Amino acid sequence: MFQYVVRRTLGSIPTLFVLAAITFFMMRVAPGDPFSGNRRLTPEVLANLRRAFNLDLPLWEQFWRYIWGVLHFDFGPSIKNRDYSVSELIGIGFPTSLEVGMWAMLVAAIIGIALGIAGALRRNTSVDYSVGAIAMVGLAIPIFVIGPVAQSYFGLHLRWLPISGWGDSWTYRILPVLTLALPNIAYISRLMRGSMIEIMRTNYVRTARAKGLGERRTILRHALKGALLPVVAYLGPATAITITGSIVVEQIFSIPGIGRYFVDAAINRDYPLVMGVTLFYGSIVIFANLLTDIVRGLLDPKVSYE
Amino acid sequence: MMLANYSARMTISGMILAAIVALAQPAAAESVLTRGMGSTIGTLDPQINFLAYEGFILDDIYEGLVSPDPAGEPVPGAAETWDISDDGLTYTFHLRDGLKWSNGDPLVAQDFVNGVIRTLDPATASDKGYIFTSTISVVGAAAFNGGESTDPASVGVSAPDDKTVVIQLEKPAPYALYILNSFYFPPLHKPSFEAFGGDFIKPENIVTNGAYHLIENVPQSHVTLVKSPTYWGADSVKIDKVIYQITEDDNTAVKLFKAGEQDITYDIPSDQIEALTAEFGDQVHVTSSTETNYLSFNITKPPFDDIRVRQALAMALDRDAIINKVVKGGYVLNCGYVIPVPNYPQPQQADCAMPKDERVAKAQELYAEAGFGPDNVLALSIESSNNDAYKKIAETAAVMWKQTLGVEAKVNAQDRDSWLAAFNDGNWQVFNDNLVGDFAGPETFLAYMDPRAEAGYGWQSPEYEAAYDKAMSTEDQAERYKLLAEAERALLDTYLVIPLSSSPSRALVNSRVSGWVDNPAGWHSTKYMSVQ
Amino acid sequence: MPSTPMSGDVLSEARATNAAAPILSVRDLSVRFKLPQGAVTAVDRVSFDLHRGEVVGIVGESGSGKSQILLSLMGLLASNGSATGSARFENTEILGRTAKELDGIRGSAMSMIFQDPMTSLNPYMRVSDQLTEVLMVHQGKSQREALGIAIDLLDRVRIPEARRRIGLYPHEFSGGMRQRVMIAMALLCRPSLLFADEPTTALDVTVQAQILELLGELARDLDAAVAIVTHDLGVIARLCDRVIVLYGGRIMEQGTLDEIFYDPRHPYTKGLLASTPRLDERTHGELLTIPGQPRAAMGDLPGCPFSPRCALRTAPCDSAMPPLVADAGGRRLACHNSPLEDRRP
Repeated sequence: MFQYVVRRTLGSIPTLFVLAAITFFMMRVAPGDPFSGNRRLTPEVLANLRRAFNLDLPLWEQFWRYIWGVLHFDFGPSIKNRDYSVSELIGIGFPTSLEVGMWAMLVAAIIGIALGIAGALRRNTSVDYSVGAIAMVGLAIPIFVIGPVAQSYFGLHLRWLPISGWGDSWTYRILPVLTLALPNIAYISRLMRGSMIEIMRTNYVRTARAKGLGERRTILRHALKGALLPVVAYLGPATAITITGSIVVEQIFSIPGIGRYFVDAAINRDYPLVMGVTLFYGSIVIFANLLTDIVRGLLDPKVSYE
Repeated sequence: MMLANYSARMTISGMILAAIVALAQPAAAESVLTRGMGSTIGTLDPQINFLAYEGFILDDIYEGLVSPDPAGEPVPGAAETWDISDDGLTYTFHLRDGLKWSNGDPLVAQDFVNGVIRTLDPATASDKGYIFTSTISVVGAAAFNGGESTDPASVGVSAPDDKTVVIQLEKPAPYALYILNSFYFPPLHKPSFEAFGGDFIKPENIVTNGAYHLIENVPQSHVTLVKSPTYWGADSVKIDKVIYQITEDDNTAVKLFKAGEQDITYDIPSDQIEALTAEFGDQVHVTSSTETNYLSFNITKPPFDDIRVRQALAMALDRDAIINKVVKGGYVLNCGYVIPVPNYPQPQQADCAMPKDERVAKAQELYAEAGFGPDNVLALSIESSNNDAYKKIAETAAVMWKQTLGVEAKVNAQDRDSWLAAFNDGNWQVFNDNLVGDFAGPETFLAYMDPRAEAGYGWQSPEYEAAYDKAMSTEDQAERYKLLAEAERALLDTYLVIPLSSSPSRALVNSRVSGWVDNPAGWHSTKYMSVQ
Repeated sequence: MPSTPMSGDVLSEARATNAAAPILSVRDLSVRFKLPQGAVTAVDRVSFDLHRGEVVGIVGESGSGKSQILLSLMGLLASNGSATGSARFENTEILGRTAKELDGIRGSAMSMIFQDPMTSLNPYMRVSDQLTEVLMVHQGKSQREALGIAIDLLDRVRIPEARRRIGLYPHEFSGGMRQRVMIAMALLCRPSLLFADEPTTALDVTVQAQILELLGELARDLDAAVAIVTHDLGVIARLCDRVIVLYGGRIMEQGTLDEIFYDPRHPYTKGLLASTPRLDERTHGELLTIPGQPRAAMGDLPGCPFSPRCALRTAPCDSAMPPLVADAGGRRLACHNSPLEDRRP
C-alpha cells in the first residue's frame, strides 16, 4: 500500500509538469497582458513594467524560471495583488475554502446517502417521491439563485443568520455550507438510490435474504458496501472541486477563499496567480483521486495494488 | 546608525500604535462607520494602488499637499498655503507646522518628494507615473519614469527645506491642484519602506499621515481604520472607526445596507435602482462620475476615414433611446465628450439637437452619398467589453444601424484585457470606448484626446491644438473653459467619436450619515462625515 | 397468524409426531407476475410432497417456472410476483408469510443453494463472515464458535486448507470451490429442507459430478428433504429418487426415477429423453429436438401448454387442460392422449 502511494505520487509529477506547461502557454495566447488594462501608459513605461516581472524574456525562458521557482516552492508574486505573493494568497485563502468545502461535502454525503437509501428502500412511495423532489430542486435551481434567496430570507428577513462574511461564529458557516451542499445532496442521493436499487437486485442480496438474516442486516452488511462504490468514486473529484472554493458561493457570502482567484486571475492576466492556483488545484485533484482509489480498494477486495 | 534610530522610533511608534489600538476598543459612544468596498484590494501601497476603492482607504489614511473637500474641491491639506508663479510653471507649497506621521516622526517636505520619486521610479513598477508625465508634466518626470535618467534630482519636485515643496512643470497646468492629493501625491515614510520593503504597508508596520490609521487588513474580508491622534485636524474628525467591507456581490451589499450592517455601499445593482429609490428615497445616490462613454472610429481604416460615413452612423443612433431606455442604471445621456462639469460651456455634437425624422433622413442621405446602399452594404464590427452596460450600448447601436441604414454590424463582446488589446492592435473599426478622467474637469479629458498625446486614434487637428494650448496658459477658469470648449467643438465636429453618456457613480448612503456630498470625482473622505 | 419467526421447538415437536408424513406439502401453488402488459402465470396449480431423506428433481426447460416454485417457497419472489395456494412445512403454513416471519426458518431449517456461486456470494465480504453470520444470527453462536463450525463444514465439503482459506474473498476461490462454499453455507444450521436451483449448471462438467456426489452424501447425513431444480436429465439421473416434469408452469408427469426414465408416458417426457444424447447409443446425424419453442406464461392459456408442439395433439388438447391423474403407486400424468393405465409389460 505504501509503495502504491509512493508510486502514484511520483507518477503525478509528470502530470503536474504537463499541466503547468499547457496552462503557461495557453495563458499567453489570450490577448493582452497584466498591464494592458491601463491606457494611459506610454510604451516606455509599459516596457519597464513588463521587464519588472520578467515578461520581456523569451517565453521558454520565463517558463523555465517559473518551474525552477516552483521546485524551490516559490510560486512568484501576484502581479495584481501586489501586497502578497502567490503562496501567501493561497495560504491565506485556502483554509477558508477548505473549511466551507469539507463541511459541505460531509453534509452532502451524509444526507445524500441517507436520502438515497430511504428512496431505494421505499421505492415509488411518498418517501421516494419526496427524495426525488429534493433532488430535482437541488439540481435544477442554480446556486446563484438558492444562495441569495436563502440569504434574503434567513439573513435579512428573519435575522437568524448573518447575511455575509466570515467570522469565528459557526453561524457564518450555515448558509454557505448548505447552499454549496444542496446540489451535491441532490446528486449523491440520486446516485445512491440508483446504486442501492441495483445492488438490492443482485443475487448475493437474495442469498442474504435466503439465509434469513433479516432486512436490516441484509442492507447494512451486504448491500451497503457495494452500493457505496459509485458514490465514493464521485465523492473524490467532487470534493476536490468543492474544497478549492466555489466562486459563486464565496462571492455571494463574501467568504475570503481562493475560489475567486481562478476566475479573476485569468481575467486580469495575473500569470503567476493563474499558474499557482492551477497547479494547486491539479495537486488537490490528484490527491483526491488517490484517496478515492485507496478507499475503493478498501471497500472492494477485487481491487489490488500492483 | 539609522537602524538604531529606527528601532527607537519603532518603540515610540509601537507605543503610539498601542494607544491607537486601545482607542480602537469599543468605548462608550464610539462612532463607527461601515463602508462597502466592492472587489478585493489590489494593493494598499500608496505609490502603486490604482483602483478607486483602494483610493477611499488611501484618502483616509494619507493626506497629500492639498485635500479634496466634500465636494471634491482642493483645500489646504498638509500644505497650509501655496504660491504659483506668474508663468504657471512653479508651485511652491508651505507645509503646516507640527505635522507628524502616525508613529510620531515629523512629516517633512522631503517625504512628499520621496513619494513622487518612488512613483516614477521604474523599479517600483507603478502605473501611476503617468500623472506626472502626462496629466501634468513635471520637469524630468518622463525621462526618469521611462528609465532614460536615473538621477532623482533631475525630477522637478524638490524640498529646499523641511516645510517647503517646490514643483516645476514643463507646461502650465492650471488644474494641478486637483491632483496633488492623497491618491496621486501621498508622502512616503522612507524608514519603514527601507526596513520592510513591500511589507511596509502591512498593519503591523504601516506609518500614515492622514486622519485615520490602518489597524487591520484581513484579505478579502475587511480593512479597519481608527482615528489618528497625530493628525493635525484630529479635533474636527468625528467618526472614531471606519470599517471597509469587501462585498463583491452588489446584491449582498444591498442586503447588508437594509439590515443596517453597511452604512455606505460601493455601488447599486442597476436593476434595483427604481425599487430602492421607492423604498429609500434620498438615501439612494446616483450621480455622474468621471467616466465618459462613447463610440470611436478608426479613421485610419477606410471607409471610416470618410466623414460622411461617420456622420451617418452617428445620426442613425437614437441616443436617448440607447441611454435612457435600454441602458438606464443611472447612465446620463451626454452629447459632449467631457463629463458634465459645473460652469463648463459644454458643446454638443451637432446632430443631437436635430428632430428625429430629419436626423434619420440626413443619415440615410450621407450613407448613400458615401457610396453605400442595399447593393453595397457597409459591414463593420464593434469591439466591446462584456460589461453589461457596454454590451447593451454596442448591441443597441448595431440594431439601430441595421434598421436605419441596413449596416451589417457585429458586436465582439470580450473580456476587458482582450477588448483593450484589440484597441492596441490597431485593427479595430468601431470601438465601444470610455475614458476615466483623473479629476472632474474638462482638462483631463481633452488632454487625453489631444492629437499629440497619441492615444491611438490617429487624428490631426491644428485648431484643437491651438485652442488647447491657449487654454493651458490661461489662469482664469472661465476663460480657460471657453477655450477648452472650442477645442472640444473641434473634436466633436470631426465625428471621430460619438459621445453617448457619462457612467454613474452610485451608492446607498444611510440617512444617519452626514457629510456625504455627491461629486463626480467620487471624493468622500471619512474625516468630513459623522454618524448619529 | 403472529408475525414472529418460527421457533425451533415447534418444529422439532412436529418432527417427532409425524415421522412418515411429508415434511413439505404443496397444494395448488400458483405464481403470478404483474407486468405492464398484464398479469402472467409462471406456475399453475402445482402440487407435490417432499419427505425427509428423499431427493426430488424438478425438471423442465427454461421458462417452465421451475425456479419460481423454489423461490416462492423461500419467500424470495420479486416484488411484482405473488404466490397463491398452500405450502405446509412441518404442518405450518409458509406461503404468504412476511419476510420477518420467514427469517426464522430461512437459512436454518429450510435453506437454498443458488445457481451461480460467483454472483450469489457477496464479493465484498470474506467467506468467513458470510458463513459465521448464519450461525450467529440463527443460533446465537459467538464469532469464535461459529468460525470453528464453519471451518469444520468447509473440511466436510472438501475444501483443502479450510482454515487458511476461509478468510479469503469469494473471487479468490475457483468455481467448484465456490459452490462447495455455498453448499456449506446452506447446511450450517442442519436444515431439514434443502432447495437447490441448478446447482451445477454454472460449473465445469468435470466438477459437476463431484458436487452432485457431495450434495447427495450430505443430504443423506442430515436426512434432509431435497428438491433440485434442473434442466439437465443427467443431474436427475445421478441424484434423484423422484422426478417431477414441468412444462409451462404445469406438472406434466411425475414418478420415480425408474418410471420416468424407463417408462415415460407423457409426450413431453418422451421428447426430453429422446433429445438427450446418451453415451451408450450411437446416434447418426443430428440430435433429436422437440420442434417449436417454449413460450413463457403458458399457464394463462386454456388447454395443455404443450399442445402446440405435441405429436399426439388432438382437438381437446387446445381447449381443456388435461387433469393430473394419479395411480395407486403415486405416479401422475396429465395428458388427454396418454392414459396412465397403459403399461408396457
